Amino acid sequence: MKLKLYTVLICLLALFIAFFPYFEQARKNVRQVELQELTLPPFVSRFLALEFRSVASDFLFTRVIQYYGGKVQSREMLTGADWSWLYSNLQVVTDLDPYFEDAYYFGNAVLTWNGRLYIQANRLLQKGTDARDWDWQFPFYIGFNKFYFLNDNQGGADYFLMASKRPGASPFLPSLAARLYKNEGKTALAVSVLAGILESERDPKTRQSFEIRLEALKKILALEQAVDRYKKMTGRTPRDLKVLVERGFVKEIPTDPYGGRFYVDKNGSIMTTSNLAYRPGPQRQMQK
Amino acid sequence: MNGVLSLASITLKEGIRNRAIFGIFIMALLMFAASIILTNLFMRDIIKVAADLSLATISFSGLLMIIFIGTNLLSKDIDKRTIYMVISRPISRAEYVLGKFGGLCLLVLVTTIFLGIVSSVPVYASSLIYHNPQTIFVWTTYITAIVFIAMKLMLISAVIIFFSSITSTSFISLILTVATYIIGSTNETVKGILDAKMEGVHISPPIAAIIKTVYYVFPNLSAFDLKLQAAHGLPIPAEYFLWTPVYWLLYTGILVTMACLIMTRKEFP
Repeated sequence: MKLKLYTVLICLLALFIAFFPYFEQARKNVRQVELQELTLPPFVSRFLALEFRSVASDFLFTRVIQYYGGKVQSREMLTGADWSWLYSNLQVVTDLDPYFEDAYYFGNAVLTWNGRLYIQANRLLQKGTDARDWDWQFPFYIGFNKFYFLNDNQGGADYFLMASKRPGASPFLPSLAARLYKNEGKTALAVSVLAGILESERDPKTRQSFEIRLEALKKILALEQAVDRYKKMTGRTPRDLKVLVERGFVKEIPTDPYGGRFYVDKNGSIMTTSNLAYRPGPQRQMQK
Repeated sequence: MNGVLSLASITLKEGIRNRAIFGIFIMALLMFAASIILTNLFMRDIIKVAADLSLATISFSGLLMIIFIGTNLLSKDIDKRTIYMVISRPISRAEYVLGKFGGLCLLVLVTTIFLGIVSSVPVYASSLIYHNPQTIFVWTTYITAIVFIAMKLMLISAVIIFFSSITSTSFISLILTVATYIIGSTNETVKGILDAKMEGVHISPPIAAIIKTVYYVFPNLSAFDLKLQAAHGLPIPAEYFLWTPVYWLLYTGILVTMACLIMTRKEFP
């Protein structure tokens, strides 16, 4: 009798292990659909979370990063629907806990640089600015997005000033606001802003990503200055960056740390084929 | 008075001896251990997540304990006729109810102190892992939040005592207590929607009246939820420490007094 039971148990265990991958795959397919569609309105999620609102926001946030990370890992491009899912879920996360720093931080990083949803990112950050009224980072991020992405120097300067009045703010903020009010060149400003961010960033991974961005921006700045000098000398914009090397304005064309190629467009602005972002696929390889 | 105290200590011992309490404690300890792993998923607000998880675990396991053990304690006495042993002694029925309630409160006190101490380990550990200059964390607010959780659990104990005095079936008092808990945790949010008077949303007068009645009759358990404040070290105004305990004391007092009254009139099978 005992032997029979053991045999049955072993058979069942073997079957279980054999069939588990099928179950897992089936579940995965269902979960994809579920993740896509499920966004609870803030009121409903508040109601359902009972007294566990803050933990609910933590778990929903892990789902958001999981979703985004999954897409990046499987080298899928995020569609408009994906972005709107991410944005609306981040809204729910921050409705459940309006003080949750990570949600704003992550939201700002991916919505702007990768999703190009600058207005939405600022809308999210505004909630964080209002709730975390001691934190200088959020008005600073809004200011950055305004001047860098939305070409709104005045608006950017206003937010930099607001940030500079909060405790612990970087001392370079007031002068940055002043330079913005004077409409100084965008890349030069971006370089000083990023250098300021790097000073206060401790997380090694984030530091690395900022360092790469700073490197790229510094290279662009050098090229821009060379183009300006070329323009002054010849009165024309160079058609190709090679011209700058041939005429001795720069020693060589620097390489884009994001894996793209720098070029000069019709207006004489320096662009890069990578658009200053890793393509979803090769990102992991490059970081190694 | 002596009778009340000895009944309370018997109830406490009975509660601690209950096997369910071990299961609940093991669950709580596992949650605390898991929170150390879970916090690694986050970037900057690590201490906030650790505090969230710890406080939620205290509240949730306290809730499970009080609901499963509390509902059993009173009705088991009536069901198994052990109540005759007690009421045949020189002790009034009101004293019996007070003793049972006191025992449940002691049980809440003992468990929240234990869980509170254990829960501070992952919170402290996470504060060592990563220091974020923009994060504010205040230990006194964290302890205050635990005290308020204990108050909430005592209020729920009063709810259990009240329902157990009405019905002698433990399952019915369990269902009614859970319903009260859910209503109590959400009535403030629902009334907030009513008060916000959103454009395009019409709430008919009878429903509005029901929502208002529910808001005043059921306990407002959101008042005892300071988890968000504790997780972010937000300041709590001083008057909150006066009026919320007053509300708590009066609400609990009313429920326990009503339970005493019902019990004195009750006829046992």
